[in-house]
Amino acid sequence: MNNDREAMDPAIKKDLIDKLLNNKITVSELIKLRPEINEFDLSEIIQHIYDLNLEQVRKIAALEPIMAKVDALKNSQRNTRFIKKVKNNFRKHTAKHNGLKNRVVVVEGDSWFNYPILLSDVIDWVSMEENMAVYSLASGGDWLMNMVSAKKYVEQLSTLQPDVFIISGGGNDLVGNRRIAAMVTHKGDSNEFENSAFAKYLYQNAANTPDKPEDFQRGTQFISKDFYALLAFFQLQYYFIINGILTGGKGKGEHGKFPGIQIITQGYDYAIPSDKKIAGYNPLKWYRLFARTFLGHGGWLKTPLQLRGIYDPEDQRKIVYAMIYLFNEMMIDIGRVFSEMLGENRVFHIDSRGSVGENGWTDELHPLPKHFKKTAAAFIHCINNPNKNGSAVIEVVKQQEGGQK
Amino acid sequence: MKKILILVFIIVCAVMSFQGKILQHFSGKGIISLELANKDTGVEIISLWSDTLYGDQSLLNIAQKNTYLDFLFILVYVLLIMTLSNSQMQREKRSWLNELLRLNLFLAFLIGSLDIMENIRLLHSFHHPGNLAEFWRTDFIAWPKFVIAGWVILIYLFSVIKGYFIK
Repeated sequence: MNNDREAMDPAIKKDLIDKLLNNKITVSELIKLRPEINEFDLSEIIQHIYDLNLEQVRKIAALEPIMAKVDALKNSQRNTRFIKKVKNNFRKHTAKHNGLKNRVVVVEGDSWFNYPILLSDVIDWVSMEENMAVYSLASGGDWLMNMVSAKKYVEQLSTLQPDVFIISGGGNDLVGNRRIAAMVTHKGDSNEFENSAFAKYLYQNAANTPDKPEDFQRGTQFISKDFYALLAFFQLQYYFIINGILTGGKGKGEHGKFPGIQIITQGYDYAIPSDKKIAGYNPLKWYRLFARTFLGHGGWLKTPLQLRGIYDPEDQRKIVYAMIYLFNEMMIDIGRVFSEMLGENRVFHIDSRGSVGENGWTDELHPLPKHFKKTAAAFIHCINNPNKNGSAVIEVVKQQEGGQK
Repeated sequence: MKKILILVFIIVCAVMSFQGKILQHFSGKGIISLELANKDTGVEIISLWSDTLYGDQSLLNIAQKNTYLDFLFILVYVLLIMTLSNSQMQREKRSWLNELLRLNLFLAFLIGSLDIMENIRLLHSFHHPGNLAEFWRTDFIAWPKFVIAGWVILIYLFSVIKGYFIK
């Protein structure tokens, strides 16, 4: 039981979960279901979404051994620097050169937070800040599902009692192992968006309306009910994680074990399905050709969509556009939920939508280092200037243009 | 890993340095002189080494051993450049310098590849002492190799030194 109230009748819970899986759940039903969900439920839901048993799900979500080793090496380097930094009275002091308060940050996430060797990812740039000591649990290729079940973040939050917890997850759950192919229909006549009360609620209450509404509409015509089930499932997972941190799973702030902790999420930018190897001839961008040739470029988005019979590049782009748009709004909604619950902003969202642009990608999923740096700048601004009563969304594009208040 | 690489680098450097000193002392010409030599000079150097004894072997044998050891040296210094550049890249805030450190990863591989080609050509020439036709020049490989290596070291040191003075 997650809250200090009577647990939901298991039959009712099962019914609501079935509705979620069939894209029939209403917003009020999702709100009722959210605090009732436990790890077992999350595990059951994901098995149904992927039509696999738990062992099979774990297998496809597992990191490749080489990837796991490389990620672990980078984390080891980061965490050695973390310990060195924090040992020298870090928590007591302010930064020497800019007077900003020193902040201890724990990070859990995927390849936007831990990209091996080739790129300087978001957390690389954040770690360079003098007033930030960053402890990283991130692994490229990791699934949000793994983060929830492994609970490495729980141990480190308890041990390190950080000022900030940053989490990035869901991308690999959506595109890993070609899963995006299961989230679309090639016919282009899907009306599942209209069936999804939650997706419509997100769209109608959006923090930012889509800059290309026609692209969004077109994209939704290819998206199947499994994506909307996954979208709702993501919200349940994030709610589960954040509720545990901020309220001890009880739904009330006074039960939280980490008073004052700031949680920051991010939702990626509009990736562009592509299997093009060459993207310019700048020798300084040699790594783009390397990543596109050897590291899976095309296999996350382009190929799976083609496998489903969606060949038009514009349709492919619009599908991803619609998915990322809704994913970001889902994350923003989670922040709103906890702001209302706790009476102040404790969950912030870095909105990278529209910040990378068509030519700003190293490969299908990962921006160039300079664009990772822009997203990192938004994180840094958020950490140093948490807006407890105003907007909890920091837009990378606006942050670039002239700073957000 | 960095510490192991640095240790092996120092050890291999020391051994190759010792071999290089022998060549220099007994012939007046070191391995780098050969790497940068034109055809006539190169043939002369190899003939001289072939004719000059050091203990129970010729200087040419020493040069051959030095070249075989160089293959290990290549592996070590390539990994070391990549490791150090990658580590410095995680500290370098200036985007242009961050990109140049990233370029070092590729340049390390390029230097290593050039060095391997150079060694293969040297070993071929060693097997044909005094033979002008079978002497394979390496100067056109060695010069770019040294220039690129110099650039790589310069970028790395610049970033490290700048990091001490500017936060």
